[in-house]
Amino acid sequence: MKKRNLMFLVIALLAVFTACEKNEIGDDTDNPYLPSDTSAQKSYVLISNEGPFLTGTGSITRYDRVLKTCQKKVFENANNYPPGNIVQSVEVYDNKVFIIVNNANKIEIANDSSFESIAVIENISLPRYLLPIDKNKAYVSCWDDKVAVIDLVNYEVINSIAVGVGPEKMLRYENKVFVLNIGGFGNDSTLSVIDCNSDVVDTTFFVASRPSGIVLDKNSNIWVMCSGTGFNGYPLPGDSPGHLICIDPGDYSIIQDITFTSSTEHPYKLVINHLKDILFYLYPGGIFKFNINSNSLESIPFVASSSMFYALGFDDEEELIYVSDPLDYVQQGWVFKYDATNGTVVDSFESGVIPGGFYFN
Amino acid sequence: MKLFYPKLGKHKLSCLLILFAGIIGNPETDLFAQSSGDSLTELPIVDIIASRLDEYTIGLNHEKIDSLSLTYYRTSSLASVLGDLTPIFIKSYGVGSLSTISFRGTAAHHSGVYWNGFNLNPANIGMSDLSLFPLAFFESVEILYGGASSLYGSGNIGGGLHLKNLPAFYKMKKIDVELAYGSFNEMEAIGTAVMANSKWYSKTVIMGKNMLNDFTYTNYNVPEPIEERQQNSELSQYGIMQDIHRKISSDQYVYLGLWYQKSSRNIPPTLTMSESKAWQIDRAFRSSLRYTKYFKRGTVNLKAAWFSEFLHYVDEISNIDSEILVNTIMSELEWKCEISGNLHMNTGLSYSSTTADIEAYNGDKNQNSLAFYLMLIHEMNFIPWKVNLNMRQELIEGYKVPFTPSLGFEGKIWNFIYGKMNFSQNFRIPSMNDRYWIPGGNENLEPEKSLNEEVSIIFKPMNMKKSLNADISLSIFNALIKNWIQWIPSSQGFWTPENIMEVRSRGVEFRTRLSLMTKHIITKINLGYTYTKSTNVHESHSLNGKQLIYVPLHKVSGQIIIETRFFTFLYSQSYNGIRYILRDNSESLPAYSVANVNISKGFKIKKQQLRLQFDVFNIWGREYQSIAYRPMPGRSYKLGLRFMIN
Repeated sequence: MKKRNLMFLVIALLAVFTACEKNEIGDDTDNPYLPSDTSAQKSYVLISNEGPFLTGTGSITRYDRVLKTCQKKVFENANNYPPGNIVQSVEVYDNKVFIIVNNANKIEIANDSSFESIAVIENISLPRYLLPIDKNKAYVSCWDDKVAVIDLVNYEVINSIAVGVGPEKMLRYENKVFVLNIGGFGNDSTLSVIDCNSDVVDTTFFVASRPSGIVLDKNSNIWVMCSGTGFNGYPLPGDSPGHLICIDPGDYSIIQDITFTSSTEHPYKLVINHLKDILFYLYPGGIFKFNINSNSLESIPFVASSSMFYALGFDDEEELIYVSDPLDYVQQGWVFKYDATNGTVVDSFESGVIPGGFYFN
Repeated sequence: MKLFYPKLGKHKLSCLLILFAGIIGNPETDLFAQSSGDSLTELPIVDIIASRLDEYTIGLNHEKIDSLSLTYYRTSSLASVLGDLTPIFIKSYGVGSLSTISFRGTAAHHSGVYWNGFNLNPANIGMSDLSLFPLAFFESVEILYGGASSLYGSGNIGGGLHLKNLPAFYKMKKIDVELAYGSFNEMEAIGTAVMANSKWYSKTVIMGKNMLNDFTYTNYNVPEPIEERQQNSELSQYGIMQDIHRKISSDQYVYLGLWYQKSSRNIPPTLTMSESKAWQIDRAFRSSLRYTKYFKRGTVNLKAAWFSEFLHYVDEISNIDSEILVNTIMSELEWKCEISGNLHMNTGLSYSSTTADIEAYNGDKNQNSLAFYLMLIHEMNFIPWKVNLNMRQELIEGYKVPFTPSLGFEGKIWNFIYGKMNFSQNFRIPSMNDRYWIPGGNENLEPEKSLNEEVSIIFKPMNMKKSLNADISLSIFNALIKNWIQWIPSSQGFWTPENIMEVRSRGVEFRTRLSLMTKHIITKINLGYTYTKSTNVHESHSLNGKQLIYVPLHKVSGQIIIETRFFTFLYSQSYNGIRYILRDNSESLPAYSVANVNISKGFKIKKQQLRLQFDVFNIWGREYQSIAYRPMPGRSYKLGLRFMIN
């Protein structure tokens, strides 16, 4: 125990010194906790914080499941420079952290324990999400309406595949990659399927307006959440309702298409539990739940909340739902953990400005 | 009332400008308008167009920017004059880029900006970009601190900026050409032609400016700090201002002002973005017409204006191409009279109509407003104090506008010590964007309301020695602003404005002006310090007590001017304390202090004059950011040459 206290002291001092060295943005957060043993090191959650809109930088928060502590700005603290404007998402693969920085047109690649920079892929246009294919290759959806193919050995863009408008979330099933074309700065209602052996688009098919979430269930069926056109709480002519669609990834046939009753309230985000049989999604009123065997939507939220949650994640290891609340988007946002069986809040912590994505190790 | 003016001689132009500034001068506040020249002559004051700003602002601090400073900053910007010389905090996105003002801890849309009494803040956004107002167009730049809705209506909560064009009716012909060349390929030309006699005054000013603005800075937001050159930052601006003043008879005046301007600029990326492909064009035509008739015990002012403003903004990356056209018509009828020897009245009626053609509004939107006002000043006869009661009621379509009274007192306390007090109710109606923007626009918004109080004490030991003048003032202000509108996010990237904030802004303004005149040298020292605590009032909320973002707690500005027969030297330095950039005050930008130097020398060849001016901006080469991740230039230079032909 004594040893540990000493360690904390050293680390706290280190944190003070690194804080003093900063000459760009003042940092009032002190992070006295660094991973101290290897078991804890392996049990973490990464949160990508988008950062202030227009001007500012995003950040990466590392949350330790065991110690229940978090370190903010791990990338900036390790490298003395921030990731950049609008950190859209974070991914870990092969002991490397991939930080997708949308407005800075780059992907920062860092070591997954020290967060020291390994490489930067630049000149990638408005990247959103990264999907590792194998040790040599990853796909990056980009808002120039393409999926960029990244070489994970030389860290460069080697190919790009034209898809629909504003590709975002991707899901792999066997050698097929399903790409959601959410519409980006325009509108789209399609899903593109890429053969990841040949990097060629196999097919593009229609789902519903603004597909925003995709998961694979225990029956090897794909569920796609389509938000529908419009803004929550701001009805406009031409609004369309959301859809939850179940697709057979083999022949792309639509097994089930459930339409939301309201065309002015829109579902967004979609995750699946560890048993791959219950879906969770965000909808005005809170977090909602859907059993894959059901054929109708629940009208009462699983977790009722007036907060406008932003990101949604599911931690298979602890079987917990993660959501973020960016508050007014111009201050430190929070992450809340909910029990996936009874919907009670388990814990919460402050993460960064606009927590927008989770990665569960 | 008498004022001292320098003899028209050595520095004719600056003298002239001083005269202009002085014409409407008020000895209470205009001590610093005079300068240069060895001997001073008394001239009777000619009060041609005393406005409400000069008379009915009892208890408030009304400041005129020293006309000499205006000449030194002529090729710089309005934003830099205000940033260097006043307590106003300037939020600048970079040289030539968007610059907005913040008075006493409020936001840009809480500051009125006026041209000859007409509101320059377009109703669609309710605020102005100072970089679009070339300093060379105006003879007078005046600042009114504190709430003034009782005088000017909506938006005057923190303070107001007043730009004026003033005539001089005596025979003259004058051509003045100024050329400047500076760092980062800055080129500027200003031509002025004045023709006047005892009946007419015409002034034409043409300006053109071009700059690459490709300064270098050190980027610390990359693995190894590197020197980078600012990208996508070119700008050009040209404009023309035509003023015609006509003195029909000794009691009737007409004024016509025409102002056209086009500004094109690229919008540079921030340090954390990879590139920017955004640009914008601002094109504005503004005209105003005024008729003034003096009666034995009163004055009638009839005025009208038409402003047409066009903005085209394109961001190729975000796929935005937006065109905005806003037309505003304003008119006002004002009657001033002396009810009795010690009671004066000013009453009137003003109308304004704005039509905005904005794609995001889904069709043209219109906003009309009508205002009635009545103002009274009473000079007390038992003590040397004045009391001023102003009342104004605006009627604006769609809003319940509060009645806005104000009560001010000022006068002598003892010997050279003066006191001021002002209490006012003020308001701001939501901008048309707040109301109609799709998505988000909220038609149920209420106007913001504020209660402002301030007290000042002024020490003006004028007669302590003829050669030494001092003016020291200390003001304490407090404002409670309710229904403060904030755009707050809804899910899925759509924001909506709501009356959710309540803000208390209070602080202290301290100003000292010293001038020492000896036989050959005039030395002036200006020092200012402002403490502004502008915080959220939100019981049981985590933001309660937190300082508003981008409001520095401390601002210090200092200036020294030395004028000799051979040259003029000016050194100014301002310090802006840390500014929080997040509402929970968890992150801030470091304090910065920037200094500028200006040396100028005049030559006289017969009746012609030549003036050389050399500026060094940010002389200590400080690296700083006014807005997070927007780099600012390091040390830079500018050389100016000015010919004045009479």
